Amino acid sequence: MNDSEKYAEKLATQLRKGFLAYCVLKVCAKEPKYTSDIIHRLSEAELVVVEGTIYPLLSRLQKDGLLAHEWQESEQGPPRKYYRLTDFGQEVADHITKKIADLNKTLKKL
Amino acid sequence: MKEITRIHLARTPFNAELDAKKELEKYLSAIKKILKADDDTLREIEARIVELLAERGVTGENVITTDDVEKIKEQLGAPSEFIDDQELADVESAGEKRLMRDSEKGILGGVLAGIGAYTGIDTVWLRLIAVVLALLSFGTAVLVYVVLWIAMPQAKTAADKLRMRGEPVTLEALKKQSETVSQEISEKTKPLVVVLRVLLGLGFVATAIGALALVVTGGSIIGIHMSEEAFSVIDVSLVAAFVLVLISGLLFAILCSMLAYASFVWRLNKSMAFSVIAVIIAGLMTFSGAVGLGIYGGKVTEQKIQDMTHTEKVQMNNLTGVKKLVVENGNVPVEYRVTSGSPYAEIQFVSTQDKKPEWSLERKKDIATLSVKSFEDTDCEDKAWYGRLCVSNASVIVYGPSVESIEAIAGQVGYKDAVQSSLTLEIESQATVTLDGGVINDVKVNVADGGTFNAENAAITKGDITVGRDTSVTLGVLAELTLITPDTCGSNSRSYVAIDRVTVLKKVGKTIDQSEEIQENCTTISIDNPSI
Repeated sequence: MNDSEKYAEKLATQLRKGFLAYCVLKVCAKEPKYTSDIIHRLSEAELVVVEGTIYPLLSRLQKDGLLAHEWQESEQGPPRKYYRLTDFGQEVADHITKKIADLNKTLKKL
Repeated sequence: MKEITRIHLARTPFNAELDAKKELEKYLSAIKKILKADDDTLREIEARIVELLAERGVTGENVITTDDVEKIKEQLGAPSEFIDDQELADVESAGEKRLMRDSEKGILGGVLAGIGAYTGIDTVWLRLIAVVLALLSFGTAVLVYVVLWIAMPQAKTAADKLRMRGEPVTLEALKKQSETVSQEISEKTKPLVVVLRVLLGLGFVATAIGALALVVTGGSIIGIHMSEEAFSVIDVSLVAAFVLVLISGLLFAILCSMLAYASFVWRLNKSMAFSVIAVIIAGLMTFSGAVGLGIYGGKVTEQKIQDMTHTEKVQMNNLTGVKKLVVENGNVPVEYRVTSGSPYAEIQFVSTQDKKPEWSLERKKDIATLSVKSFEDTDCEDKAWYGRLCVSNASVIVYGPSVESIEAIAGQVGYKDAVQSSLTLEIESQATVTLDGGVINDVKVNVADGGTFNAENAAITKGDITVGRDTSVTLGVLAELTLITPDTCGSNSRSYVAIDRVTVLKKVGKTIDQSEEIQENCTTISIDNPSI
């Protein structure tokens, strides 16, 4: 990786931070998902994520009241923690959708 | 060949190479340090690792290799990836030193190590000071330690540890902290803590067992007693109080077992604390209820007995001018109190029926004969509780002039508050005479075989006592005592004479040497303070 790539990566990481939270909210919006589901969905959508960053994110979103969890039995292995979007989380997600649209508009105009 | 060991991930057992296990444990403990004591998340991560292993075909009896662990670490990311940037921004702005327990470096709870980290003073000095303080304060400083242990939060996460030392919590510092492989010793496995846990736990277990044993034995003894006694005297509230005491005893035992459990596992979570408090409150309530009911029941019972207690006052004018008193009574004690007023008798008895003890007083010249028949309430025979009550509580108190001599034929006779120069006593075999109070210069007593004489609380100057076989004589302080004791008696027969102090002790006109215990043929004379 050369210097320019490194610098670009640094900027992209900063961009991704808020973006990742938004993606997680979107994944959990339709139906409750457990951590592996979320990771799979994100990698399917070709968002490169270090898995480790998901866990603190989930626990913070939960603490802030955007996500709620419930335990569900699984056929193989231990019970799983399923996350679903709260009403507050839905509102937040809607707001971000608008903001991203605004950002896109700006990008197009540039 | 590589050593294989067993590990558990999210409660799923696996075989693993020893190196792989160590590597994985190191990785997980580094993550644990970074996450804020979030067990749920840690469990999720373990569950995720199980899934990743399954994806790699490691299930059941397959063995986790170091290669598997490397791949998992690659997939999940370095421990530092688990740092929440957002949160870090919060703590960085707060960034102040906090007083926390350093259980990693501490010996017991890490209180002093925490204070050391906070103040920068070497922990060794703090420990020395603490030991000296504990000795000087006779152990009360230990309480301060316990309070601090409870009050100071444990520094669990990497960020906590930085804050404890007052170091800025930055991403770099956190990364560094999470990489320092410190031995993750759980607080409850430290040797001193283990000793404390076991001692506390055993103490509570012993207390619980003791309380339980007390409840069972005490409960059954009193319970059997209560069921045998008639319930008409014991108020129902007393029975209820008794039951409540048993319940509170059981609650106490439960509380102790809960505390024992808490000490053994060294954990007190919310639900446990809540149940402990609930048991304490329930215990206090039942116990105070028992005390209240007990006091109430006691008063009611006392009132019941009082209702059955009768007192009669009878004039006894024919006692005036009497010189000799002959008393013959059964189970009702008679007390004769010397008074200067007109003579009368007070007869007191407890009876469910309106029955009273039968008595008579006959006067022949100078001699008055008082006889009181044995008193038995027929109701008493049916009810053991009453029985004991009415017999023991019947008594006759006679107020009359002082007499020169008393002959006690049977039963208990008391002669009280007499001030006179001389008194002659004839005590027959079934009788007990007690001289209580009063001042008498010269007392002549003849105690027949089997009789009892007690003048411990009377002031007698000179005594002449003839002691029969199998008698008991108790005396206080005398100036002179002349004893006549039996020469021959049966092999099992023995008379006892107990004296507090006597200046001159004579036997058949001769003064004898005193010692604490003088053994005669048939008599043991014991003197508390022998005069030599």
